[in-house]
Amino acid sequence: MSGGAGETSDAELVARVGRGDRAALRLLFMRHHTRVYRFVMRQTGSETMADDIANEVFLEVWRQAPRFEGRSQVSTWLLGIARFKALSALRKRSEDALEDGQAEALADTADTPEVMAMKDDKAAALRRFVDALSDEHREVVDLAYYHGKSVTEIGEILAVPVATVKTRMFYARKKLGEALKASGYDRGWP
Amino acid sequence: MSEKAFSNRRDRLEALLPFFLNGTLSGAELREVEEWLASDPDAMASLAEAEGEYSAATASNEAIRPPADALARFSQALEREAGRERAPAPSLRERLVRLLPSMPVQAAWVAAGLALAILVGQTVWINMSGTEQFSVAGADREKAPFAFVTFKDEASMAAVSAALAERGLEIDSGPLPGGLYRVLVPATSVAQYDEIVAGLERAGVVETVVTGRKPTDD
Repeated sequence: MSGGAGETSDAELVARVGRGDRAALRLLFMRHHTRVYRFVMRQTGSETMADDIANEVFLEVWRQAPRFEGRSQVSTWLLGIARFKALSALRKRSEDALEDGQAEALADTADTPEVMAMKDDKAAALRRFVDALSDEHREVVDLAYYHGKSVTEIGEILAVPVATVKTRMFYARKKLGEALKASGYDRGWP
Repeated sequence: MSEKAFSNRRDRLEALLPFFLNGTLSGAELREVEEWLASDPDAMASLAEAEGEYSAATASNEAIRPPADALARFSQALEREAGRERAPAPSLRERLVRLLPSMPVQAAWVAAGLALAILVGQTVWINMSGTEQFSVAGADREKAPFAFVTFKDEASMAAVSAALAERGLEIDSGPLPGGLYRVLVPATSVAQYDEIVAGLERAGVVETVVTGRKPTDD
């Protein structure tokens, strides 16, 4: 998002933030917070972490704005910061859990996505399958479909080559197709 | 992993379909997908599947609701990070509310009368100054051009009112967290909007102006 026709662009706002303009940062927050929060929430599965990390992302913008060179879209930059902070927080959480001796995985007594899908219509089943994708597959799906990012931008956010983005998307879509087929929904591919 | 993972052209094009749908595909890849969609009946079925995925991913994301007080809490965190901003000066009404209860009844009536006189005087002065007041009907307010403005702490209400009236501006809402006010800008072209906003930036009572919605030049 860079503001609608006639509105101040995101890049202009970042430039103003770089000059110490707090109002510009608040406007940037209003524009992008929801998407950043949702992105982190999908990464971490924790509302508390998503809340803290989303705030941290915009504080990081306050600190880094003078050095923002505008090579990528502001929204891409924000999601890149968000992902880095989410991964760091997840790593720390997992280390803390190991230290506390809580590493045992909780037994999952819920139905598998395939069994649940039998009870759903196709759209609900597909949503469940998207949610059940591996982190690495779900993030490319979210970034392309929900955040509207290009192959190159997703590569920047995830810090991987564009070829990797394409192959992850390929396998993510393949898994969705296989899951639908296993649940009795017709699909031409794969 | 590399693109060699694709065993055939169909697989490669399937991987590009989400980017065709979100409008970010370009150049040779866009042409290749378009040719495929035009020539292969299976391609349209694949596109329909991708549209289903699009809806599913969007619905899953939109089901997540961020906390309603996120901006207020972020503003507090920003103050801790960047140093405290001085609180915006209280409005005339707030000042009167604080002042009146501590006064004897007679003095309160005198103060209220004095405030009313100032208000009437100010209104007369603004009307006599010949500046055309900007007003928009309620239904048009949502579409009206606006800017976000913060005022200097030391600016008095009278000075703010005069600076706004001089430019035909009107506060639409505020203060938002952090002392932001949404101010309606009576401009019919981008050039006029920029001129008014530039003038406002130079006004002594204004701390900062962030451009909001500009008029669309037809």
